[in-house]
Amino acid sequence: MELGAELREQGRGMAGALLVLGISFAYTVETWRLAVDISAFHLLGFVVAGLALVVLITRSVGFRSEEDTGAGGTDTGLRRNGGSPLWVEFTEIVFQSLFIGYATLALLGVIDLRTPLPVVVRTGLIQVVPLAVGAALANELLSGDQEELSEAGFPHNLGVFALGAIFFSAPISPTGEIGLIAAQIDWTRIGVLLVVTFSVAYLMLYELEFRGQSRRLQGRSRWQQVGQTCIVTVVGLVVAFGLLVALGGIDSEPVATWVRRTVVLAFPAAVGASGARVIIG
Amino acid sequence: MTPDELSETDVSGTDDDTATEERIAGGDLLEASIMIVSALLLVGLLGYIASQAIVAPTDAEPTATIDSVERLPSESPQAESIRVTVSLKNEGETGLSSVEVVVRCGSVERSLLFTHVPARGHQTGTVICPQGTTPDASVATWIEA
Repeated sequence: MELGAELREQGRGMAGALLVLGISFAYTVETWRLAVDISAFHLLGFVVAGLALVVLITRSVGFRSEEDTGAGGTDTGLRRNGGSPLWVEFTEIVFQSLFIGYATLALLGVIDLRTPLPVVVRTGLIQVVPLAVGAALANELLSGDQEELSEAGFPHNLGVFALGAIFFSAPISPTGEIGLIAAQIDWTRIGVLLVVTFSVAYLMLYELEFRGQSRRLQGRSRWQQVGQTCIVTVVGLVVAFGLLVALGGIDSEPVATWVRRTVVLAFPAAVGASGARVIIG
Repeated sequence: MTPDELSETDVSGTDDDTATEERIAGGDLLEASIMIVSALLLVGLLGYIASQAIVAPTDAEPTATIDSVERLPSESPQAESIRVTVSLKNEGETGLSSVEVVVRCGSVERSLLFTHVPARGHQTGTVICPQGTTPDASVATWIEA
């Protein structure tokens, strides 16, 4: 498999991991504290049981994919020819989960170079299970025939974006994690988070070959794709700000705090907006 | 259908096509406008964030000041007390996960605990003090985020 296709496949798993369960876990302070509080025995049992579930999901998804290919069904080209061995797919899923889990937590300031190694390892093991479930399900939920979705045109697509943004960010907006994350990361990381938000939205819509990508690319120049991604990101920012005003109580805070918290909440909002575009059309 | 009727039909069909094309062109223009506005908004936001990041960092300690002192209404259960509003400001570049502020009202001490105070942020809290005292607030401890 060529490098580009391999990167897209890995990226698809990581994006799916974020979309399905990863973001809600990453934005929950109790999961960070579990890394410190949970006993080693309990953690081991959690990881073994959780990854066993991932094996079952991977086997189910892989079986369905091979069956479709063998029966002359639609070969979307999203899996390796003839399908990969189960252990290869499982290893890839675990790698994707650990990579995106650590990257997200580093971006949110939960772990950094000063974090003790045992805490880093434990944090990764806590996050790997929900992320791996998401990565394993991502191919089933988010891939498929590139032409099977009809695309909602402008301005209906704005409603789709907003719906996805609200679905993902509304449960998180009234929680204390938004204020905590916004307080613990510096302005440089806030800027990086905004850039990553834009980049993830672009990748999900136009690069990772999720469902309906060919329709989204049809007739759109690169600049139009970037423009659409700007719209998705701004919808995420607007929804995040609206939710924080309505539920997060930021109206009494200074402007700098508004900006910080809005950018922090806009990440899940924009991922949700992009996901809605993939799933709903 | 007579040729005249046909030509009438053709004309009305052409009118519909023209109207549809005009609507599509208008929609494309509006979408392009929104794209440009979105891009400008993102660039502006990044510029604001960059300006905040570039400003010389200060190691300013958090400060607590008395915002207001109000007498409680006579019908209140604590009618012989005063309500003191305390403002905490964090002028530093690092967020604070917790800050303890001590408010002295004569011989009486009250404690306020603020959590998740962002860099360059502020929060307010309220304590009840005995009437006739002059409250004074100071930061006792803080933990950086």
